[in-house]
Amino acid sequence: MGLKNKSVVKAGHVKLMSAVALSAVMAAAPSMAQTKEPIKLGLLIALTGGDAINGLNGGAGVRLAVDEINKAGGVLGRQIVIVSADDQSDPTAAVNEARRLATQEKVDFIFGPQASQRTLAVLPVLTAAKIPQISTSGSLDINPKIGPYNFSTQSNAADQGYHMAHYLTDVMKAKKVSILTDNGAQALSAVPYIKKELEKGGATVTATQEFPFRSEDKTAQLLSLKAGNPDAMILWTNTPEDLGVVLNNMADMGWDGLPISGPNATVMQAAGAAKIADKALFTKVAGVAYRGWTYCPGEDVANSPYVKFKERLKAANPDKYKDLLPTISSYAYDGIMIMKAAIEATGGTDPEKLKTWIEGNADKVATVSGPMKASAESHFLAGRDVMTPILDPLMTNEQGLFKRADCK
Amino acid sequence: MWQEYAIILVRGIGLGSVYALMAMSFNIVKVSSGILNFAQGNMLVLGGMIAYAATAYFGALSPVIWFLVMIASALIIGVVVTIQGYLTLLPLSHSEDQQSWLITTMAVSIIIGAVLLLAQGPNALMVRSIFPNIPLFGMRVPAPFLLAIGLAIFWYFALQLFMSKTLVGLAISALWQDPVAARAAGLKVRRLQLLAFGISGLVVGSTGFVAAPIITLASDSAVAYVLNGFVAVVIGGVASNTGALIAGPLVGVVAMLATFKIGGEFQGLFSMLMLVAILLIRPQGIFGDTAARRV
Amino acid sequence: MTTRTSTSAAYTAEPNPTFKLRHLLDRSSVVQLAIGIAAMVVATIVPHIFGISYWIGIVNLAIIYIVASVFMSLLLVDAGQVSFGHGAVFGAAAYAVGIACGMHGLPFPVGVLCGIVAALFIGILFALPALRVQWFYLGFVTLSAAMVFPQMLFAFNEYTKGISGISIPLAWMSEDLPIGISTLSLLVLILGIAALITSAVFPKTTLGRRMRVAAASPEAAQSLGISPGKMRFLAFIIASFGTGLAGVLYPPTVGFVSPNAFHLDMSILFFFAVIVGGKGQPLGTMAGITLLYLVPNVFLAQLVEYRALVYGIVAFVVMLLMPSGVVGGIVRWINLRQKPQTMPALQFSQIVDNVKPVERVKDENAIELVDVRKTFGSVVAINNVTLNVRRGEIHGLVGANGSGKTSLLNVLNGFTRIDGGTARINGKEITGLNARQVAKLGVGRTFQTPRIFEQLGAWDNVQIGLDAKLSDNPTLVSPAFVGNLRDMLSRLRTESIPHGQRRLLEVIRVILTDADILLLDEPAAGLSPDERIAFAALLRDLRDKLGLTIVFVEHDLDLVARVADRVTVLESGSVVASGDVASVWNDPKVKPLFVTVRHA
Repeated sequence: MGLKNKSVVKAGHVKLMSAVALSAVMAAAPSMAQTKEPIKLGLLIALTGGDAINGLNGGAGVRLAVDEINKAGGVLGRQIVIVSADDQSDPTAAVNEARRLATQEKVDFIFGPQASQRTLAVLPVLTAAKIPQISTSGSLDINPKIGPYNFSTQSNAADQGYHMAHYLTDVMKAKKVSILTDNGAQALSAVPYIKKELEKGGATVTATQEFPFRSEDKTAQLLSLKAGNPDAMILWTNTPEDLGVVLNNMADMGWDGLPISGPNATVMQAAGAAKIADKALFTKVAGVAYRGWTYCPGEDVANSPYVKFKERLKAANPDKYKDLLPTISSYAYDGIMIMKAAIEATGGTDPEKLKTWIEGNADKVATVSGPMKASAESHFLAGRDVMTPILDPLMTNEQGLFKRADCK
Repeated sequence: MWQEYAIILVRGIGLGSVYALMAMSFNIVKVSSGILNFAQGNMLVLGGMIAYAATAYFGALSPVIWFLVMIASALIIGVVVTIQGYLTLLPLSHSEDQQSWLITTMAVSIIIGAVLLLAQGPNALMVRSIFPNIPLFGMRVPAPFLLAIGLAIFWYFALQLFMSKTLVGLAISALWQDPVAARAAGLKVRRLQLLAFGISGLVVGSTGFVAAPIITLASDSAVAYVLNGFVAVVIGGVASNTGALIAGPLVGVVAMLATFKIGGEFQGLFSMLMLVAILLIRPQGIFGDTAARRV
Repeated sequence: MTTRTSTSAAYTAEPNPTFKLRHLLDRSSVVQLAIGIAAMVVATIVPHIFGISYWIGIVNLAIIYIVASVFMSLLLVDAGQVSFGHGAVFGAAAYAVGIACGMHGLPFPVGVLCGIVAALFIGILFALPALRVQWFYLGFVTLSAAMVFPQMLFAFNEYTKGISGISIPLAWMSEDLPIGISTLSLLVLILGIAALITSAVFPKTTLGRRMRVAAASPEAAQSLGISPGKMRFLAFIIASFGTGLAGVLYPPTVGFVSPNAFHLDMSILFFFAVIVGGKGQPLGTMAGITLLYLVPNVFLAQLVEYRALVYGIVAFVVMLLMPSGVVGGIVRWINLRQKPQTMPALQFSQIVDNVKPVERVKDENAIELVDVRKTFGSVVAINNVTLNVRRGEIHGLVGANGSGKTSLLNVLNGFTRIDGGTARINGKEITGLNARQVAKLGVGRTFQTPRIFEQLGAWDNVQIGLDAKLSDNPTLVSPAFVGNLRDMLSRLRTESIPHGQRRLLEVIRVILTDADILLLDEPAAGLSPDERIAFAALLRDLRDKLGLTIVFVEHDLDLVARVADRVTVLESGSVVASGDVASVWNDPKVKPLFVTVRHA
């Protein structure tokens, strides 16, 4: 069976047929090494399930990066082909698909998964197969020891929590803070760090409440928090509708105007939340943003890398752009660009060389979301310094950038 | 302090009215054919999507247009559910295995969810209410909470009248009391069952539309409404709309109170404990007849 | 209960009738079993030969899901219990292994033990509401439990590592053994084959039959001395044990557990697999998992966006076209192509061959009722009935519809508790006893609508009588007769048994329980005149050769006149007349009733 220059689609057909015929061995037979053989990128993201929004946006960023690289002649003269896989927002499916990408499709590197619990699930498989990986996962359980070839372009929960807490204690001088989160992975894991940072900043936590994803009404949670009479709130939501509902519920009970501090997601999803919540409700809402997304008055940002990135993203997705969150796409894009730089610099896809190169040189890659950096100790490319608090995620400038909370 | 409880009561009853309407919609299908339509949750979401589509098409709706589109939404979902009912009943007529509906209704639910995901992506659709918030107990309540309560009361009386005063309604009741006798008496059973599916579609179609701003319109949000609607059915008693009208709001209020006093993470556990408690203490529900136990 | 389980085994161990595989499994089951086992073995070995770890993982996971579905099927099809929460049982077992091996570094066998305990714990939690509620009420309780399960894993994150999930360091299990496959694959394969065999054989075991009877007709079960509640409980225990075994193999297969893996979807998958594959077919769950798991997730992995759609459409279309599932539909289609089976008329002349001396005292009362009274609300069903039935007599109960005949039988076998008077059977007061306890006193009964269950094989419907045998003594019924009957019925499908013959089979079932008092509710309805003559002879043989006491309700007065020693006429719950046939027939109070009775 001639597998030279096979396209992704062809590979799929081969696999389907061979699967049925139980002769899967053919697809796995080592193909002839060719100098111009494409580089295979496994795209392991959630197309379905609760995390599909991340998949949609991350996937768009990855595709844009791959298109640009291929149009510019590829990496080392080799084109990148994407092999798509749906982890269904489910760790089991993620493991199966990771195995498929690693052993069936024999991809050269992987983008994804986009949530910690699935990244943790696939790490043993990908580490054993020595597949370099760019994930966007923020759990502190992920470290170079268990995932030597994994790098993340998402900031971790602790770094986001640090900025969320210190914005309230240092900028807003809050003394009594309540915490409201959804019951998702990221939010719950961040709560302990946030509490710690709040205490360091001299504030006490009055109460903690949580709500299920996309629940219709949060009045009960808010009423119970209000009873503690806090002067600010940590609010960790992951969907635009949850953010909008909380703000509406607060306004309905006459509690608008309370300073609120949210994570990355708040910045990304405020525009969506504004479909149901009035713009005025966002004036006291702060979020954590990648520096690339932000501005201060007086800075010349019209040609900033992120602004240019958004224009290209829009050009590549003319119909879907209105449903996209370019913020999420941007750090997915950066991940691919860092990997591309590493492949070019090391002259191939050798996992050990790639790992060492990224650990030492990631900060030399031009990125759109902010200055990235890694070390042998931390593979979180978007560290605490990349992040900055912003106030009122709806108050964007004409380029759609967010205003930093610490502007003069 | 009392205002907090008052507001929890109003919002709990408002949300619970959606569960009550789901329960009434379950009831009429259950009465006519013994089927519990699992796809009903997605039908509710579809009704809400009509509200979204109408807003996208017409811009902000005037109250008159809003009312007309609500009726259109009820009719559209009514037709969709009738077709679904026809397909569900199809295998039941030529097979002695009478449980295929469990799968077919769940499968339809999965199919609708999958189509929604393909069509509009994973984002939930958000609909703004065209009516202003209403001041109540020193706070504001969004109008859809109150509209949902009104709709539940409307459908309650409409269905009670229909089931007790019209010949067709009485015939549907007869199917529940004694299906064999009803068949022997020459009732066109299949036609009555389809009609019941259609009526249940009217109920959820209008509910989805009216409650669109306060329910979650996403490809995966239907299960929660099916479950809460079912809890209302069990607590109220199968086939009892009076029970549904009371139990729905009860479920809504208890869930909110549990969140308020204990914490949001135990909301799901609470609804389950309520279900188990009722089933263990009074399996026929508050207003159910003892016949329900045999089911 | 335990002693009786052994007796049926003792019976089948008798030299005649001889054991044949056909008696245990029908041809369709044998063929399905062979296909299933062969497919599992091939699917496990081939990827190992070529060393494709992706396929090894997929096949292992598919077999694990098949095992879980097999036990879901046991619960649903054999025991009639609807559970939408089976994924929680599976998940509990997997999580227990995760916590034991992944967090505390305990060896895998300890994890297995913890997993099974955890699965049993959830199973018992499900079984408790099952004692009280049934059908989709139970379905919803378990469904909400399945929804709450992952939430609880989050809520107790200090014990479960919550959202982060647990990595399981059991890579040694995936290393190949000298035989060419890994420890894990070997365990999975063994479990898979064992589960397939279980699914085929379990319905043919005493326990399997009892569960099916209890699910199909709780009252018939009680009259055979079976406790439906106990059967349900046992079903949950067995199902959770089996599912737990599958669950503990999940962590080494996937290498990781996290709450999101055990969502409601998993429970629904197991449920769908059973029904879409074909309820009660040994190959059913395998077909179900192939269609619903492998097709959308693996064979169509490139069409990722349409996975959920394919899943829903497959389930929907299969149910529309084949309401009895894929395998069920195929089996049905093959059966339709074969000649319709006809059942030869049952010959009773051979039922008792070597007449053993029957030592039963004739001049004592088998049944004594004194002033028995039963009311339902304001309706008096039985009005101060006093009635004696002597041992070894055939006693006819006649009267119009609604005169209280069946109500009286219900009192005699313990279905209804009397409000007043005393009732004694074989000398024992039965007022405080339930139907099962009365059955153990030697009372067997048949029902107005015969309790022949299509959920059981044709012979199994008779075998449940042997299962309920009251003593260790060999049955008095001729072994040759039983052997012939078994041979004949093993070839038949239950659906093809004509209605009239079903009543007779029910009578034979009750005789085989060793009951010495038979309560027969309209046993001759639906029999042809010739069959009635043969049936009358059967009743006499039972009395004369086995010494049984028979009370039967009958509308056919000629039949009553032909066989009954004594007759009791009931009217509105009261005894109008009772005594030998001739005197009752001529009783002036009875005569006017006859006209109506005869024409009723």
